[in-house]
Amino acid sequence: MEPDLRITHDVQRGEAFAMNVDGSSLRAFPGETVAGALLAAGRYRLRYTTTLGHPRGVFCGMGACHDCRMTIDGRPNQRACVTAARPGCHVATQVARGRSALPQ
Amino acid sequence: MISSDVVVIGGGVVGTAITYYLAVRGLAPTLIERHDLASGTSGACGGSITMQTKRAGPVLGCAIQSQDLYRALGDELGHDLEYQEQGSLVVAETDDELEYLTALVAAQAVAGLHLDWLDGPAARAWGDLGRSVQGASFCPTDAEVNPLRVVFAFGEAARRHGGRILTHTRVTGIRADRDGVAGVQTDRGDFAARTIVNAAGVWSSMIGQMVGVDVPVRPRRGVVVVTEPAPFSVRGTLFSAKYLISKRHPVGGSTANDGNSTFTGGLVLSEAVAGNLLVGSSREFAEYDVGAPVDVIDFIVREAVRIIPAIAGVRMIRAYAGLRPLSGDGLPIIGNVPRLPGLVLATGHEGDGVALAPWTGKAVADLIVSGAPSEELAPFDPRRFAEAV
Amino acid sequence: MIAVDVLIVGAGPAGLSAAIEAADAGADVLVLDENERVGGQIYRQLPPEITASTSLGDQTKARSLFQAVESRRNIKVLCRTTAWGTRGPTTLAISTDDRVDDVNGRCLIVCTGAYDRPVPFPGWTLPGVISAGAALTLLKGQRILPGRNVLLVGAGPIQLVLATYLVQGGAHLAGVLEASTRWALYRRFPRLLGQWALLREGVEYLVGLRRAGVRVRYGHTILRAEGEDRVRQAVVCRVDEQWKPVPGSEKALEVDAVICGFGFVPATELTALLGCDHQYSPWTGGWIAKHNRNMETSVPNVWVAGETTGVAGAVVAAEEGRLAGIAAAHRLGYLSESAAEVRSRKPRRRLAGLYRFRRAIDEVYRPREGLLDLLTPDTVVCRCEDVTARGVSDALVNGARRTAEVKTRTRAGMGPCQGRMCATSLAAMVGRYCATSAEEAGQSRVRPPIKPVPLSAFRTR
Repeated sequence: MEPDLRITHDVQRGEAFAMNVDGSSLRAFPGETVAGALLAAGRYRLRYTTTLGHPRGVFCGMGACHDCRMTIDGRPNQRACVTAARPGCHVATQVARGRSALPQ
Repeated sequence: MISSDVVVIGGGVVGTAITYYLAVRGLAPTLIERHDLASGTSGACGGSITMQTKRAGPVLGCAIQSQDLYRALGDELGHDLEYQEQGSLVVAETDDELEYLTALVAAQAVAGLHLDWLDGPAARAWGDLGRSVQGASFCPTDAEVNPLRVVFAFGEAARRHGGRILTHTRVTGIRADRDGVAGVQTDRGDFAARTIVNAAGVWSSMIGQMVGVDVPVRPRRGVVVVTEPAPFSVRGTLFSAKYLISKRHPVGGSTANDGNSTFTGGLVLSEAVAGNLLVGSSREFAEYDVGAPVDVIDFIVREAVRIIPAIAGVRMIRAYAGLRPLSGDGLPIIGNVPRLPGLVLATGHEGDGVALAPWTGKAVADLIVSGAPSEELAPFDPRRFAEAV
Repeated sequence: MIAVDVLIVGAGPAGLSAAIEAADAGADVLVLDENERVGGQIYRQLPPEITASTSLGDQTKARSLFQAVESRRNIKVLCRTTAWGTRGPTTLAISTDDRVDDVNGRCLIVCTGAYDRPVPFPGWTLPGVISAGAALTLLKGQRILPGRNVLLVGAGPIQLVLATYLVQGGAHLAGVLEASTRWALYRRFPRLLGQWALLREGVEYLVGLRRAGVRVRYGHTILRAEGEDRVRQAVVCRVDEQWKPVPGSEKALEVDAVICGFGFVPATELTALLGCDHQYSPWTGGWIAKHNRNMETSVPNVWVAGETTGVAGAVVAAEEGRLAGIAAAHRLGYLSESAAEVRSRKPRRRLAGLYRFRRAIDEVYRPREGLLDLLTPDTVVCRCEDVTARGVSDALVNGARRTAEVKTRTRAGMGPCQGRMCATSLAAMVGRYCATSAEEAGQSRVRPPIKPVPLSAFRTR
């Protein structure tokens, strides 16, 4: 069974929806952040650092540390802890900075 | 009292380069720096080694020699300086700028530097540039380097070859006697030396005042905005003609007591090895203030977003400001001060310090060892500021 | 450009209290906050889409603040708005909804709060190791647990609060480790008397935890977190009076989350940008903006209130906010000198007692030297740029003597967080190496942007 860290006792949430995380479906509820939905599902690792390739996840939870950066809907460096989870959004583990070259 | 063949004042890219080249010549130089190396201009600058933007004439000639030294410098110093030749592009957006750029290309060609001309579509294709770009000149051999690495590498190599690097040591006075300079006084003791190099950049005039020598160098501030690592790559350095024009013919730039100052500038864009984009730049007189005013940041960012629209998807994360040492006529001041034997000036490089550092270091070391200035130093002779020195 | 009488940055208890006082005196007020809704950190609300019948902690004060703000027509609130630079003595450059703009207040009140003090130890960057603030935000803002088998480490009353919420939410606590000793607290007990409400709150938390079978272990902290792609195990140990690990006392615990609560550091980027004078406070282990008894800084017409002035909790924040709001209203002529004095009496009286209490608490939980001994050469110190403790000590060996010089040599502090997660550690390391102090290690110059701004916001005028 999928782990769920949501507190359910005496808590009312809306209709669950699906986000696409690294190609698989992940459940989220209205009002949650991308980081919240991922953590609730036990998904702690959100990116790999550029220099040392280390796994990182949420640390400060308030948008200050930038450790929770993920590529969301094609845009890299989005802080998952301050980005709202939306139905159908594409969330990808960010490896370094996932680059392309400017056409030259 | 400690004795040294030569004392070099100033731990930036010029001072450390000079100290290195003196050390490998077997002299025992001592570098004196009041903070840590690269605490001044060299810690707040870009790393472009761009020939196409150098004034045709002595500066371009020396810059070409300097770049040649750079090509082997990493191996010579035993450190990766992140030197890479990915070219430079200067874009023109208006008819006036097109005219200016065309003339520049012709002038550089006469000086022996061949540039490729790109028309509108070709220029825009260089990097998905904005519609306002009408043409561009490209120099494939222009390069970039990491200035901090250059400074620390010069310093470390100087030490290895017998030089002494004294940081966190403040020069408080310069002693002179009948024969010329005699030594340097600092807050950590006195140093006897018969040759003293003033490589203190924007603080050169303060050092000069210690012996009654007027060094006409003043600080001109430039601001650079740094973005988070971009999801796309930028090859080489991108300049706007507007930036070039502002460098050569700066309009305005006054320090008013009401806190308002005017600035000029244009786009200079390059990518740091870590992937951050360095987006500059500006020129204004703001005394020694290294703040980054919001209106300058605003200007720089709008230039960038217009010329390279893809950058709009990136966030800026910080800004820094550096002070370029501007001499009275805009050319470096390198050479002996005749009325005070032993005093050598090596300053006033404005925005060309990083590019010219290796050549400057070598030329000053040659000057000190041989005792006589070479022909190529003639345009930079301190005596041209006759009354002052 | 937007222009108002009183411009307030931060919609936590300080900012909102300031807004209410200023508005009640007749000023027109604008409050800016970068979050989705008001409340700041300590009064963080659930989003409208999630409701809970039981609240975490007492929400009455928070609710009455929100209602008071909403019911006053001369208070406007702009959320999702970040102040990133200054355009003048009391004019700010902001970014909101992908657009930059300028806002001027004839008076400016800065209530930018604080952020978690980062304490590096081996493995602290592993996913699953989060700050106390992050845990509180998850719990209060989304009712999500940080883990099922959670270890709390740190120092200070925040741990009791967190532990209580976690137990309430159904998590199992692998441990609650308090670095300070019981004796450190008891010794100062007489100075805690007088603030009965706060004391009672503390005791309630302790009793509640005891009933739930949770024992706080004093004089203990974490030595390292271990795991591959997330934390799975924590090695904990005893510490001495200086919080230095005691060899031979290591114990391994299985965990799935570690919450680090070593106190908070005031956010002073905006006050620094505004040119306010700051002083180093050893009690906070950081810099705070200097202010007078009216909360005005060294820059005329700029006031501070709340955690920005030193971390002391919501009650102090609110009272300071009130003083600042009253002072601003008086400056603008909405209140006479005597009216302002009268209104300020109660907040001043309350604060006098609260400051004494706060000072005692600060002394108990002040971060001690020994935390630096948790570092190993491979421990990452600058999270953004992956700079390790070895990288920092190399810089020091090679001649760096100040935080700014370590930054130049290593890139530490140059990442997107702009030193928020490493500046205090760097300063402590420099202070120790140079046998000076964190204060003498200095700070880097603050420049705009003090928060990241998307360049797209500059596309239109």
